[in-house]
Amino acid sequence: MKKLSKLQGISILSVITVFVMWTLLTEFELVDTKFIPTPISVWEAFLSICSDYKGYTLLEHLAESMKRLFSAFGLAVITAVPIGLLSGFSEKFRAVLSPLIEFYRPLPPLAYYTILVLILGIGDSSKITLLYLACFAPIYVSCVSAVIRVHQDHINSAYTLGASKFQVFKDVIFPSCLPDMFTGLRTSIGVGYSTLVAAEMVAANVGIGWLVLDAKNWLRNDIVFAGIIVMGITGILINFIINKIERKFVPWSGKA
Amino acid sequence: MKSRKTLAKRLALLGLSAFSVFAIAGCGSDEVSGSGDDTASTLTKVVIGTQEMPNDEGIAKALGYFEETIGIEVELVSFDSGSDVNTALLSGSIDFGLLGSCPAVIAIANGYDVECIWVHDVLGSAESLVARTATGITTVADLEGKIIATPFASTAHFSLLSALETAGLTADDVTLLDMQPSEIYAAWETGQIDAAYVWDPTLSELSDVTLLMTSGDLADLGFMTSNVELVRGDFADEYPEIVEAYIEALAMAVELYQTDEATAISVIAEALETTEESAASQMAGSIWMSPSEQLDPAYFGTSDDKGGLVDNFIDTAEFLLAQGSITEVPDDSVFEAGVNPEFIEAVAAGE
Repeated sequence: MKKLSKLQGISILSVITVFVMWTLLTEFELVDTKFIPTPISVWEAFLSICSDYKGYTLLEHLAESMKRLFSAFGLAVITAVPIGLLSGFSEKFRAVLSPLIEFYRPLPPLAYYTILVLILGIGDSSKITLLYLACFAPIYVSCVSAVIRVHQDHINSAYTLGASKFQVFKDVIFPSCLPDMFTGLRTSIGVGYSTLVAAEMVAANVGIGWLVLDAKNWLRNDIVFAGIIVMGITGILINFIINKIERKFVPWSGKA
Repeated sequence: MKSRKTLAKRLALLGLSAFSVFAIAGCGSDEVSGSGDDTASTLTKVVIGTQEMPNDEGIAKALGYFEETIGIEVELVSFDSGSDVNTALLSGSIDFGLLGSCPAVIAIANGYDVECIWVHDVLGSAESLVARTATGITTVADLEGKIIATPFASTAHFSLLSALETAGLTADDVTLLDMQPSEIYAAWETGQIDAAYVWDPTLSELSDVTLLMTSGDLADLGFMTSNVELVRGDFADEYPEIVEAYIEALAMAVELYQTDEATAISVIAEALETTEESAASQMAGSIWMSPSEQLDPAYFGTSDDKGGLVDNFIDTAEFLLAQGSITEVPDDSVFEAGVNPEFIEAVAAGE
């Protein structure tokens, strides 16, 4: 415990150092404050967008983005987990899906976003589909590899003890896969979150990603900084929540 | 012993963080200076940010006028909209940038060191508010409750808000969507938007169009818009002869259009990959001006008595302020300094 707090201390020191450097560099105008605004102006920009940015408050912008992100993530979890587990289970099933997923997985989302917009329109459905596709692959891949990695001995022992196929799946395979699955979920939400800005590039007028892009167009670097900091902190929070959930459901994670 | 080790570690860590901040800051200032930071003798390349449009720069680019007058390597980089040009210009990635008067005003009003040195064209029907005929919209007032797309922070965005104002509407009475011209084309053809304020060549590519208002109509109502050229202030100070050479190339292009229209049209038709008929009508949709025409009191005026462009920029800034798009309108002197007829004067004197 003592070690942990010492590390935390170093982390806090690191953040403070960057902040102090930022303050000094901008206060003494060692950098052009039009490009790197002062912490105070960023704070003021933050307060102003809290009450309103182009017709919506900061919270409304964030809520809209989170609605898009979590609808996509939720859909991805519901579909990718069973499909992934099944693919891990059945080589044939895997042979059908793997080439397709391996094909689109490395594609930059913006490349196929244009197609999605043409097919699904400029509304939320194309944005959510884009995020869904981004979220799907990491969960699928982690589920497949998790099932493959389950010790054959464990499965055989369960069969020897008279377990049915369903029981083997429910009591042996599924729990063994959980730690890997959570890694997949975490990666998935990370990828989805980083695709958010791209998803809000086309035809949006609300959302935290759009806010940053729009502020850039109006050369409001103070708002860009404030928006990015909000996005960063939100990202940390999301990760924190997933960690908590993981610890609740998979307390044995990290222990052999 | 142990504590010394941790102290050393901490110091190293601190040094590392400090170093990274300086590294970032260093990158920043490096970008700001860009190619203009070199001394006159070592400047080997000029970078011009442009947009694919039926204008003088399109002709000068296609016919190699810039290489001819500037004399050193010229790189032309294409952008989709003025806000992208702004970002590139202000970061020092390009030396010159073609953009609408509205993004130019945003840059000047935010206090960036840029100068407007040329008006490419005063916008007429080349930038217009149009509705899909199928929607049954025939007037600007009909737009209430409809979906309208335009690239945000562009001159078209400014004109759209002005047009809505003339019909007694505000941005809250319609759904405004932020889309680039190419996206507007796709959304239009698939019937996802009801109307758009956009410029040529995209404007001419749209099918099933009902024209609601042109930028020329708005100019008559006091909302003149144009496409202008900005140059970085430090670049202009250091290389005035290159800025003049740049303007000479555009003057040649305007002269070609004014004296040999057929050739100018075929050059633009080829550059935009369209028919000569379409190119001709697109080019007729805006006003091109020779250097002496640019010095008219309605536009640049003279160095001693700057013209209407300054007031136009101030009006635009005040409109943007009223819309909440910018936070303050700086003193008139900032706009006076941002409009610089000096280089046009030098070229006009040499004609």
